[in-house]
Amino acid sequence: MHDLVVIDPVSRIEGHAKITIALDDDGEVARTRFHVTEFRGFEEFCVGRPVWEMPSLSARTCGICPVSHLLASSKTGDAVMGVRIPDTAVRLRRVANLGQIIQSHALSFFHLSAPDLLLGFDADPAVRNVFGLMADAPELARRGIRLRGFGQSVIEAIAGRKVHSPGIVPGGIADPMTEETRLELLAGLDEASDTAGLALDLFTGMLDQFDREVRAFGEFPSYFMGLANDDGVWEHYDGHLKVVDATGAVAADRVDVADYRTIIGESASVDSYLKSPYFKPAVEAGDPVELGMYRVGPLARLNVCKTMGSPLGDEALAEFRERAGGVATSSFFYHYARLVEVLTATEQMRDLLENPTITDSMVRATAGVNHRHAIGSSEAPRGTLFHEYDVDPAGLLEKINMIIATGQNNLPMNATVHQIAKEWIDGPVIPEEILNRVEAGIRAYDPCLSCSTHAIGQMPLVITLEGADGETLCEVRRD
Amino acid sequence: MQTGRPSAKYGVTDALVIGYGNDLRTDDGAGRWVATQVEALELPGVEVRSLSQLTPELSLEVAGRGVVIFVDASVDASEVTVKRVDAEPSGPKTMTHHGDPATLLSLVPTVGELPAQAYVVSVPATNLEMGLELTAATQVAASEAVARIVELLAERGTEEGS
Repeated sequence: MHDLVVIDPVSRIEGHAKITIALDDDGEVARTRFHVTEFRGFEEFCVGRPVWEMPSLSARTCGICPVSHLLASSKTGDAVMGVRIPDTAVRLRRVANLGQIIQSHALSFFHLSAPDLLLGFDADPAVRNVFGLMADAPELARRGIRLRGFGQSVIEAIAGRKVHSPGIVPGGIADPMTEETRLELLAGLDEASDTAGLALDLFTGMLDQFDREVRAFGEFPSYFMGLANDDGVWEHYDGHLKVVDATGAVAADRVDVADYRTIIGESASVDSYLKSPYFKPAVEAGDPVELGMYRVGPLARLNVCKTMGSPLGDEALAEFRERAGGVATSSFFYHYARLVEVLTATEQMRDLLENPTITDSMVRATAGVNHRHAIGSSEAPRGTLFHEYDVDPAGLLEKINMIIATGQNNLPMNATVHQIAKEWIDGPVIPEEILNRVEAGIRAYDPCLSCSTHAIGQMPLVITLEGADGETLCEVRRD
Repeated sequence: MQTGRPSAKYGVTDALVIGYGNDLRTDDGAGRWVATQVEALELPGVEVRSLSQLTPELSLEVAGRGVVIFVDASVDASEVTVKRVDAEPSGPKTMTHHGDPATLLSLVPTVGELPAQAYVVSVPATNLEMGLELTAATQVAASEAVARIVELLAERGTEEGS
């Protein structure tokens, strides 16, 4: 007898997915699959539109990290024009992306994952949510909301609107920053930094309770990829691609983002709309693509960089690495990495805002179409994001490809589900606390499947447990 | 009780209109279309937001308002409806990256006072495929929704003034 578990829908993540778990004749987990059941359509929809509109259009891919698409798209537009944008525009884009990282990570930690961490994976699901958190730790919940509010206010200040902002454009930024805005943002940084520090203390204080989750929530060797710079400082906006392995050894470095296809391959499967990118140099013809599995996002960025480039961030990174034993190979540490990044983001944002040139009026370069093909990249909160466009001489889009962070984490998310299923599932039923752990394993990546598949909606999950003969033994649904 | 809040555009504002939806999904953008129309009226004391979705930090903007009006497209509605909405008494079992008005209102006590009144205006939607324009039927309904919101705000102003 071979059993199968399906979890459908997965909750507290963005998008729509299901999980299938097959048991062998002995009732042991034999194989698992994380399927994404939404369909992407954005790249087709945008064909024929002017490249100048693409930042604003592509930002609508996601209501959570629109700035990431604005940046990657605008950088691709910069390349279509062939311009070097003004230094102040670069600084403003960096501030906007730091605001994006802060607000997105705040949502992931305080609203989506803190209920599990503070109330426990085994807590009553009726209270294991943000409202339970409000009751149990109201000050933490309040700070989480205010931290996200701060990140959003940064985005609004630079990009003009909190969601789907039109202020970041090919060539730079639409409007300069005023002195009043600069001072307002600086005034909010102390509380944001304090909240990040408090959350870090809270998380590290709890970490010892989650030894089993650290060992089973995606603890395996893989490659890690992120943007990097020549100084080895944590990078989120520019630079080249760098890949390290699970020992920290450099597998690829100084790869121009325009050459991303030299190191990234994509495979597709019949049961998911989410492709599976892999690190191409690790996979010979005929090899399983899992040999090239790599992770992106906060965990990868911290594994790729040498320093965070700011005092509190570096202190936190040192402790992070000490607790991880060097390179962090457990996806449970994504939560930890997010908090290190939030703290660092507040420090780097302060440095940028205290630079008097940040209010310079020269923020936009203009030009026509000078290149018919271009690629742009930035670090979204969830990982490295690529936009690739072909345009006609008038700048109308002929072909679009986006490689989204969540897609790049598809193989590790599958491996994480498998590891959690092997660790906790024993027999043809799925208790609620086990369902929650499987979901939480995916949530650690903070996936945005709406974005990666370019569809709308929240993310319910179904888990199906199948027998050896394909018979469905158990199905658990979270709407 | 706080009855107004500073706004760069309108000075102290008591009312907040939030239109939300995906304006690249044909009729799903009805709420945002309504928000744009209401904003163009420049009603005194009324602030307007056009958003893709409701997110937790909006509770900071909702807190302390006299009235908050949420406007969304609805495939279940056959006509424009205006209904009072309250915070979920115990909250939903799960919360993802975005929520509904009742869920959002449930977060407000964490950061401030609940608005004195909150309404949901639903605009009938039939086509949620990719597209930038509302269908003709939803366009008509959305125009009616604008009129209903203006009426609602005017009635409220009369009540406050009396």
